[in-house]
Amino acid sequence: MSTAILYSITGIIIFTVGLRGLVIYTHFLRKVLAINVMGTGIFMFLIALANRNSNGMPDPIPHAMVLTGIVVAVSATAFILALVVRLHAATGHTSFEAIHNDDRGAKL
Amino acid sequence: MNINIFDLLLAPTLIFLAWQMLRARDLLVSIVLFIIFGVLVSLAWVQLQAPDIALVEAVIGSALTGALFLGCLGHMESHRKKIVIEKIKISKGSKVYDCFLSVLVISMGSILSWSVLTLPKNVLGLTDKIQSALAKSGVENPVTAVILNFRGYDTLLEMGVLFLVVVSVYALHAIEPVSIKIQPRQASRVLIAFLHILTPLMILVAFYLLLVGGHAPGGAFQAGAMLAGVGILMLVGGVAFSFNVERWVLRFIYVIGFGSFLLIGLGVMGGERNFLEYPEYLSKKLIFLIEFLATISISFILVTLFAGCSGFLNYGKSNSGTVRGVSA
Amino acid sequence: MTQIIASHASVWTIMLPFLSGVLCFMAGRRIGTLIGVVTAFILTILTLNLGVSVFQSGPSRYAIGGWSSPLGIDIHLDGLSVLMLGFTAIVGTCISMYAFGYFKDRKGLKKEKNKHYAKMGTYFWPLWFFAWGGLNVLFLSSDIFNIYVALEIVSFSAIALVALKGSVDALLSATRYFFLTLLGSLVYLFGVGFLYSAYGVLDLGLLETVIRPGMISTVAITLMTLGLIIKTALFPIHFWLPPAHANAPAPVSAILSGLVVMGSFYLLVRLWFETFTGVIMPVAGQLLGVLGAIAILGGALQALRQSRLKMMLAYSTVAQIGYMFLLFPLLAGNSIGQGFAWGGGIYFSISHACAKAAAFMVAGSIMYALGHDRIKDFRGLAQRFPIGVFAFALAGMSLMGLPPSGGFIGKWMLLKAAMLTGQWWYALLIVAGSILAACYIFRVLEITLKAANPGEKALHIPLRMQLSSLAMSFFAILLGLAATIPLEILKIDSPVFFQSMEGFIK
Repeated sequence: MSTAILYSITGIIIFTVGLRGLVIYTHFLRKVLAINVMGTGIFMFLIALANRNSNGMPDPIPHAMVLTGIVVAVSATAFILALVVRLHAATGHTSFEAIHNDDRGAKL
Repeated sequence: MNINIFDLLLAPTLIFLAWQMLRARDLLVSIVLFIIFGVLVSLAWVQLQAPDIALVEAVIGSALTGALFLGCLGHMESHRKKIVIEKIKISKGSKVYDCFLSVLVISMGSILSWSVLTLPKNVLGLTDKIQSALAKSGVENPVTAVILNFRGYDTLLEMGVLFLVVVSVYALHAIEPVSIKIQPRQASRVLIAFLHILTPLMILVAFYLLLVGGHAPGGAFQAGAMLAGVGILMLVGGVAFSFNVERWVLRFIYVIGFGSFLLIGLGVMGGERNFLEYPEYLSKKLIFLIEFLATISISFILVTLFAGCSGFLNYGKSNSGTVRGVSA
Repeated sequence: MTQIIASHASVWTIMLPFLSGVLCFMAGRRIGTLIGVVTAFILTILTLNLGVSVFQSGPSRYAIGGWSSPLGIDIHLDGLSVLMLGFTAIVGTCISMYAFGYFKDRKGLKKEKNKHYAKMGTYFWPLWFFAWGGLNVLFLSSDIFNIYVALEIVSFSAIALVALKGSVDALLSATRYFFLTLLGSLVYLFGVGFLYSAYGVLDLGLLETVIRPGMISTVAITLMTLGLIIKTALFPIHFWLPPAHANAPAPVSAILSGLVVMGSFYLLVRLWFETFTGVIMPVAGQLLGVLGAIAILGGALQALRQSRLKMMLAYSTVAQIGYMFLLFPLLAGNSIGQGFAWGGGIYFSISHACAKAAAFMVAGSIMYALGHDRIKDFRGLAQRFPIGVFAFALAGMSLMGLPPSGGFIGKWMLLKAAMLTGQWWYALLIVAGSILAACYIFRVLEITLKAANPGEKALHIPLRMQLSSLAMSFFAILLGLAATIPLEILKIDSPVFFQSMEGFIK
């Protein structure tokens, strides 16, 4: 086994941990954390497999992809957190369930 | 490459941290674990010979994203009308559902992992092609060459994403400015003194990162994030900031990174020369110009994004100090 | 200057929306609106030019930065991408004209409310042009990672547009939309990661030549398809779509239902029938077909149950997305059937974009006038608001699939493909779905024809809004009358054998 295989499988497991978290946890912040975890898993997969060269030089294309990916991820996080703050200010709640169950909440 | 004991320890630790982070009872603990997770992930990047990514992960993936989460949590906690004890996991309630989901996710993970084992062991990818084209690209760091030259189009669009998100955050707040009164922050003297020392230092570091980006790990995003760090500390420390987007100077700063990249891309185009195809004698200078302007935009945008999710973004006259509901 | 536009026209069609998005943000509301409308018209002219040049000189590639693939990123122009660009421009121009009226100060409305519309108008333009730019990147890009970034641009601007209204409903729908669409993007990106790790290229054309059947390809295709299905809102992951589309301001609903849906569907078609043709298993197509079938019936039944017009139209979108996915099972079989399935599926998605955009515009006009969109209170609308109801009827014809609309051509081709490939049950389904669509469209039209309740107040609807919705619905009909032109364009560099369509138009 090589580092490439070890870290790519680690990446896959981290992705699945995040996926389960995204579905199962209700608090918005936890969901956003889960999305970030999933992203990190994918990035690790990409970088690990960029490292399979016999000449020891990693492939820079996946590196560039991951750099772009990290910036997109932080943008997404900032965006959704701003939305969550607005929603919290309007309803006082931090999950879909709580807003649904709340009588004062908007009807859907 | 063979694995050493460090890798064997790090990989399971990362998985464990991801798991614990999501299920920690206290959200604050979750966020702290997220930051630690980010730091350890950047160690993994070092192990995987990706120093560029390690740097970005440390400043953006871990520190800045962590700051966003902390700011958001802090803001929401301070404005909670009644303390609602948050149930850790419920969703559709039943354990059966969780079991079903876990089985699904585990089988997905196994299939994906199994297919990784069928991948070819030795792949050159585009390494050779990049090495031979590097001389013409204007920079020596292969990752920077890919980001700003070979796949500069992606980076242009990525700058577009950042700009788009800052516009979106303003759009979210502009309709009904978040006018919840924020506790007047007492500027902490220690922090101010600290900032006096830190600010010039950080600017220096940022400039260094920008300069070395051409041949070593570094570049606009790293530098911009460093500067944004100073801005966020100032904001938290109580230094007054105006986020009044009606002022054209502020709008101009947000635009300049993406806008100049776009205009340079279109400007070099013509005749035989394609979009974003820098003339060889100019490419070094143009790339530096793009990175320099991008750094300015990125740092302001990141500070604004932090402000947007931690309640600092109440600008203009509507700061009436009352809690107003949102009209449905 | 004309020289540059002529030889680099494809770059301008991508970059112009971004450029004017930036300018709209800098200029503020009043000038921004003007910039927006002018840009929309320029873009239409540009894409029509591009279409003509592709028609005359065939498909082409353009290497961005002068580095051609695999090192750099290529833009590719063929019949399908030019058709998508063109219809985005046409629908986009009508929506821009409509928004020009929609966000203006409304006479007879309180000052506070008008301020709300003014602020929405300020941010609508930059966000809308970024969505448009993202779509154009998507249609022209030949690089699977570049497409990921384009998808994110489209998603982020779409989410911000949904949240624009600022009401709890809108914020909630935007949040739900965010989680689903981001999940979709990440799963797609994972698929991209698998493909690159296995084959070392990102270019669609190069992938087509190196991709081999096997475990890794199957995993990658499954992931990418799954991600795009989530983004297109195919059953059973459709639940986020109706609230998002219905709670947005009317021009935004038109953008979402008309264009954003078309974007991810286009990508799925491009991947399945060009890049992955050699490695797709027919059973996967059947699976998508079954999901599409459930969406057609379920969406239409839900639409019938809605009491609000915009909600009804949003559920109708769910059903119509089902029709688009019938393309996948029908493509198995002989080559003549394939041609009809391919052409029909794409034709259907274009007609749906025009018809649904028109219908949402009318719904927005009705809300503008009455302040609500409760279907049961639409009595007398046909008298007071004849242009709008007429436009709605035309759009409805296309949604039902009545001749001579674009929807009819699309359904007809799908029907023919179902017969030619011997899958008659899909033919039955297409007919059943059309009957259900007729039920929900006529239900609305019938109420508008009843005598009005006396003394009901209504605002005057600006002519701009009325005419742009009418123009849009005319296009939905025109697509049926002049079907040869788009079909001829679609034939350029088409991946499947594509029978000449002159035969059946008559």
